[in-house]
Amino acid sequence: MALGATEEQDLLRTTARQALEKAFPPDYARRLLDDEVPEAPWPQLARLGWFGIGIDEAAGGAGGDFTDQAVVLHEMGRVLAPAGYSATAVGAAPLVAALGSPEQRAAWLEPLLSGARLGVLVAGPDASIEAAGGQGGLALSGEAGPLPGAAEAQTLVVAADDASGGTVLSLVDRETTGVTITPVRGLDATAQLARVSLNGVQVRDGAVLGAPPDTAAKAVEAALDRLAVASVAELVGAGEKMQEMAVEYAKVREQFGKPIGSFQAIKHMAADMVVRLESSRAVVHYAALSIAEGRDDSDEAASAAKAYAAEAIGLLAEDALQVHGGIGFTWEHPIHLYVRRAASVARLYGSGDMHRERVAQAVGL
Amino acid sequence: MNPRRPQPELALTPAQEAFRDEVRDFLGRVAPKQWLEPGWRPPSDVKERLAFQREWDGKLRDAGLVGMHWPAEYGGRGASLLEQAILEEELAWCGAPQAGLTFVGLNLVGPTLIAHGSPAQKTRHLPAILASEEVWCQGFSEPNAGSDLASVRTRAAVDGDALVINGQKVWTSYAHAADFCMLLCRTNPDERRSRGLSLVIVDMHAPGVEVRPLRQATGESEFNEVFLTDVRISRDDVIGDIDDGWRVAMTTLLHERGTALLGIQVRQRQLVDRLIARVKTMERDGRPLAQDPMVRQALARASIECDVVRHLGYRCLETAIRTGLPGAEGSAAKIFLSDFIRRFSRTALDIAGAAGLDMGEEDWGHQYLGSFALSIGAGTTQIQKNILAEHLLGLPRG
Repeated sequence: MALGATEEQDLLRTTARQALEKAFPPDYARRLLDDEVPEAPWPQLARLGWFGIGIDEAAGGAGGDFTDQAVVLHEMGRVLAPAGYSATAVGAAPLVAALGSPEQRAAWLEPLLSGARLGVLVAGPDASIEAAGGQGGLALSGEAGPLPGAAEAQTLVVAADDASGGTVLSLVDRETTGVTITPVRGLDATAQLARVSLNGVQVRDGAVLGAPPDTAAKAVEAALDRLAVASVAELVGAGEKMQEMAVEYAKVREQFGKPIGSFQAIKHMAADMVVRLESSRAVVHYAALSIAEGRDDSDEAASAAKAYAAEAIGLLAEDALQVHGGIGFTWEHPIHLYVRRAASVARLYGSGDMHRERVAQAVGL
Repeated sequence: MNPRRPQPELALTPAQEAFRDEVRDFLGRVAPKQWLEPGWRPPSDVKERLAFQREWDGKLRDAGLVGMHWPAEYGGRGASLLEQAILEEELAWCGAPQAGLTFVGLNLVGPTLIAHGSPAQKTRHLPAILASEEVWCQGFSEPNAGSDLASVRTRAAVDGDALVINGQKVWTSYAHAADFCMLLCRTNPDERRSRGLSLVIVDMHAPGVEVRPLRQATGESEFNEVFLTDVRISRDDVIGDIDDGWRVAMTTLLHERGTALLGIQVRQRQLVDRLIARVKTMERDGRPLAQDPMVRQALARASIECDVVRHLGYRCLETAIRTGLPGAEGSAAKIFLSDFIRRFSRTALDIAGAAGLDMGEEDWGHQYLGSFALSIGAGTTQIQKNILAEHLLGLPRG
């Protein structure tokens, strides 16, 4: 267990950067914002094994752990890749892999690992679903969202409260009667937000993940922690890109006969970006390590990373746009796409306040 | 108070784990528990402080823990960065005072002489530093040369085989207790900046050396002004070459590799934990303060940021181990640390309220004022940001 990247992770980072710069060229995020639905290159990226990182090879995954996945997520963030990867590979697939029967894994996990279908975990602070006894199974009712990744997901992994207050996890196809997915025009179009409404959705016994209620509850909490850390792992990548753009601009843009990067105010903004970026990188890295190793501080570490990095990179984003001056305020310049991502992440996967409250509890308050 | 010990962030070999356990066990036996009490500080009187330091260094030396990072040929054991970090953290956890009287000698002068000193200088000084027999101070800053250190004016004029020094130094830690000073001075008056500087050894008891304590805003006198009037030293007291002092000085200073930061972080973690424990006993308007959402949020922030310092420190260490050079995180770490301590001190004062202003009972006010030593000393935050922007990011000079 090393803190920094291993040699294999360095290689993964290089490969991922090349593949993602091709898969999500600079205009991709903008096209999403322009209400286009460009074809998502998920099957190609799935062939690299990415949807199975952290899932045992025996279950059809690629092996590795969450620190490896964090490397890929960082590179995804640099290019503002849409939420489908994270929702599927961090949220939904690991739950099916961990709790699914062999039949369930064959039917539901395999399509997620191949990139053929996208998934989403319907759970968390923005979800409220109840399960009642139904015909040969359960009936799910409730609302969730806006949830990231839900707009494009075909497989819903739904966490519901049962009559005794325990958690039950079900596998639901988007096309099932009673499921309504309403895409939301989000501040950050790459989040692919949608509201999910379940109205007496019938789930056969075969589609219920057979875990006892507290196992299911813990698994959902762990998945939510992974999703929160994944969101800021991506955000650190986005922050790195924003800092590069701002510094590059400051070197070439001239006013009063000199590059604006020679003005101390700009230098200090750039230095602050480095401080925010490096501190975020460090806290996210530890959270990923803690989760990968199953340490008992992983819930605190996840919340610390989410609360801290979302805020820090949010401030970095504001300064990055500001450094660009007037051109940063145009539709055509990409910087606002990154600012949108930062502002959006801070309010998804649990707010900063919620995560700080979790840390407060963890430290004994 | 039972401290929550954080988990390790770098893989330790069984030998390193054994070292950590030995050190922890040893310190648990020899470090007075009194050191962990709120507001405890080492003696302020010079003689008492020196005796205190020598006694403590003696115990550490008997356990082979003094100067262990020095190469074996000079009396150390070439301890790795990771071992140094382990020792630094364990010392901090037991409340041992940091940056004591022998700090400059062991961590700044020693490595400088090892890298650049003449054989005579090494023989004369290294064993004495290691044995805590010599106390050193560092004569760098001047009233007109703080952030702009390269503009120092203290003059060393060559006079045959001697150099005659005239000038003034300020912010010289422990000069009042020091036997020797590693002094940065100008040997070439035709050069105004770093090119004409030399690093020399000055006997603090030599004629012409006058030390005046400097009382800092927090009340203590850890620093001094040093006045040099026609102080004579020999050419043999120059470290490295004449006019090459800037390079010699900088190569040593640049070797701050994050281990000191880890020790400081441990101290802050103890304070955060202390504040949390304190809050759990407090009430406001008849309700437990620990239930106040704003207090919970503020303490969570403090705890999170304190842990961020730790994670940053380990990234610095990891880069230093891997590459031997400081990385981007190194520049970020000191700035983040000093900002964190400032914010945390404010939070602590807010929470402690009016009662927290009682300097006889509480330490938060002292910590708050003391935080300026970190945002100003060893490079102000603002200068550090300029350097970061220019050297790391390549932004053009103004």
